[in-house]
Amino acid sequence: MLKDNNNIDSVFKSGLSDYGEDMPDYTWNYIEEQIKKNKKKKRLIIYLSFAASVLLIVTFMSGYLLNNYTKKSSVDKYNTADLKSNENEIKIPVNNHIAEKVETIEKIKNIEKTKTTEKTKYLFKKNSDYLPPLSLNDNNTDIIKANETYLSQIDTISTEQQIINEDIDFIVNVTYKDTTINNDSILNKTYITNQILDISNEDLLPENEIPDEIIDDQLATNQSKWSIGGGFSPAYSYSNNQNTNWKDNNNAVLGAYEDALVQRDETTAQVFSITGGLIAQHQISKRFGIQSGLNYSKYNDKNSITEIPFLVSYKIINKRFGLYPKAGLSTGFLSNNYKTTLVNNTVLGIEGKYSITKRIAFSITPTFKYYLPFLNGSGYNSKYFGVFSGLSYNLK
Amino acid sequence: MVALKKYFYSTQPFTIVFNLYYKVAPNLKKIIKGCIDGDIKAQKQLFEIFQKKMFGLCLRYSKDYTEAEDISQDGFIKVFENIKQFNNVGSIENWMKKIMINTALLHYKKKRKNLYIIDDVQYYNEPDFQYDDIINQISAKELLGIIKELSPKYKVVFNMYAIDGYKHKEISKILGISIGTSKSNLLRARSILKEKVEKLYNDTIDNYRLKNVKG
Repeated sequence: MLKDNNNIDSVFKSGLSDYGEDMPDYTWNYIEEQIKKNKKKKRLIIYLSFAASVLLIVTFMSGYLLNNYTKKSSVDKYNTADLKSNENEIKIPVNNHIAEKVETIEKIKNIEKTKTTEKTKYLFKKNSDYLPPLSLNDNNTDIIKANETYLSQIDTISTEQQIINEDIDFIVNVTYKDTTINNDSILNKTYITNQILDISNEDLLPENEIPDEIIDDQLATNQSKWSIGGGFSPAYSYSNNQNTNWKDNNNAVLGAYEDALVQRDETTAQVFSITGGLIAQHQISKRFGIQSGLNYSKYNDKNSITEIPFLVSYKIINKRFGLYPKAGLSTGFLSNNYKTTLVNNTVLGIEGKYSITKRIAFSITPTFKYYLPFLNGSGYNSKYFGVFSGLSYNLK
Repeated sequence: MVALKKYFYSTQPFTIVFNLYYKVAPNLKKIIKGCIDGDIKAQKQLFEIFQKKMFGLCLRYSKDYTEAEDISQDGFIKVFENIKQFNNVGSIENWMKKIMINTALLHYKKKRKNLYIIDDVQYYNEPDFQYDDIINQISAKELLGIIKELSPKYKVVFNMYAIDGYKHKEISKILGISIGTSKSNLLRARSILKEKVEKLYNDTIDNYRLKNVKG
C-alpha cells in the first residue's frame, strides 16, 4: 500500500511517460507543405531586404547625382564670359530659382585688397547682417562681379561655406589673372542675395593672418563628402525572454545566446563578443550624412553575425572635435554551424570624432542596438551595447 | 579472433549494444544531418521515428485530439526549422519533447487560456487511497482521458512536474507564475486526479468482480 503524495505522480508517470499514439496519415503532408511555404517566405524576406537596400542606395545616389547636375547647370549660367561680354552694362544673370529669392540685387562697397598673390583666400567674419550670398555650401562659383577696371583681372571667384568658428562664417577665394595688381587696388563686388551685404575691410583676413586655432578648426571641418573608416568594439549582448523558453533552441538567435552565454539563469543570457567592421559615410548636406558598411561580430567558434547597417548621422558639433548622433537600421545574417538567420536591429549611437589631420580622424562611438521582434517574427527581445573605436579617412 | 567476435556477436546483450552503437545511433545522426541539410526524406524519417511519442506527449497537454494534432504539427515544423540548433549534446528526443511542450504552452497563450490564476491558494487534503495494483488495472488511455479533463492550469503544471520532470522553480519561470502557485496547482491537480483514479479503479474492480460472479 502506498500512501505518500507522490504516488499519484508515479501512477501517471509510469502509465504515460512513454505513451504514444500514431498521428493521422495526412499529418506529414501538412507538415511538408508548411515547411516548403516557410522556406519560400524566408527567401522572400531575404530578397525584399536586398531589394530595399539596393533601392535605398539607388535613391540616395540618384538624389546626389541630381543635386550635382542641378548645381552645375546653375553655375553654367553665370560664366564669366557673360559678365565680360558687355563691360559697360553688367548683366546679372538669374535663373527662375534664384529670381524668386532675389530681393535686393546689389550692394557695392569698396574693399581694399591686401595682397597681390595669384590666389587670395579671404575669411569673412560671421555676422547675420552679411550672410553668405545664395547657398554658399554649394561650393559653386558665386555671383561676384567686379567693376570694369578689375573685371578682366579676376579669373575666378568662388566661395565655400564653412562654419570655422563662432566668428568666421565663410571663405571667398579670388583668383587673379594678373599678379601685378598693387595694394591700392580696389575690388568692387556685387552679391546677389536676399540680404544686403555689408562687407568692410575689417571683415577680411588675408590667409597669412589666419590665427592658428582657426586653421585647426578648419582642418577638423574641411572634410570631403565621402569618408571611409574602420573600427572594432568589445560588445555586450543581453537577452531577457519572459515569454519564451529560449533554452529550447527553437530559434537561431536564441541558440546563439545559448551557445555563447557567459552567465545564465532560466530566462536571461549575457554574451560578450567582439565586433569589427568597415563603414563608408557620405555627407548629403551641411548637417546630415548617411552611413553604410559591413560589421562582423563573433560570439564564439560557432556563432557570428554579419551586419549591414544603414544609418543617418547629424552633426551637432563640427570643429576639430565633432559630435554626431546617428540612428538607423541594421540587417544582419546570424550564422552558426549550419544555419543562417536574418536578423534586424534598430541602431542608436553617438560618435565623437577628433580630427588628427585634415584627412584622418579618430572616433569613439557608443552604440546601442535593439533586436526588433516585430520584424523578426518572434516574441523575445535582445539588446546590444558596444563602444566602437576606430579611424576614418576623408576622401577627396 | 573471428571466432571470438562471432561468440560475442551471438550473445543478445552484446548484439543490442552493438546495434545501438554502430547501427541505430549513426543512422539517427545521419538522419539529423539530412534534416539540417533540408533533405525532405530525412525529415520524413525523423517524423516517422518520433511522431508516435510526440503525439502522445501532445495529447497529454491538450484538451482533445484536434488540439493535440495542431500542437504536434506546429511542434514538428519548429523542430525542422531549428534542428540546426540541436548540438548533439543531449538526446534528440528530449530536445524535441521540449519543443513540443513549449509549443503547447504557446498554444495556450495564443488562445488566452488562463494557466496561472488559481481558485484559491490553499493546500488541499488528499484522500487516503489504495494504489495496490492500480497501474495494472487502469490503461494508459484511461489515464490520458483523466488528464485531458483537467483544466489547463492544473493539466500543464501536473504534466510538467509529475511526468516530464520539471522542477517548480523551472515551471514558475517558464509560465511566469510564483513557485507557490505552481505547488498549489500541482496539489489541486493531484487531488482531482486521485478522486478520478479512485473512481475509475473502483469501477474497474466492480466490473472485474461482476464478470467473475457471472463466470
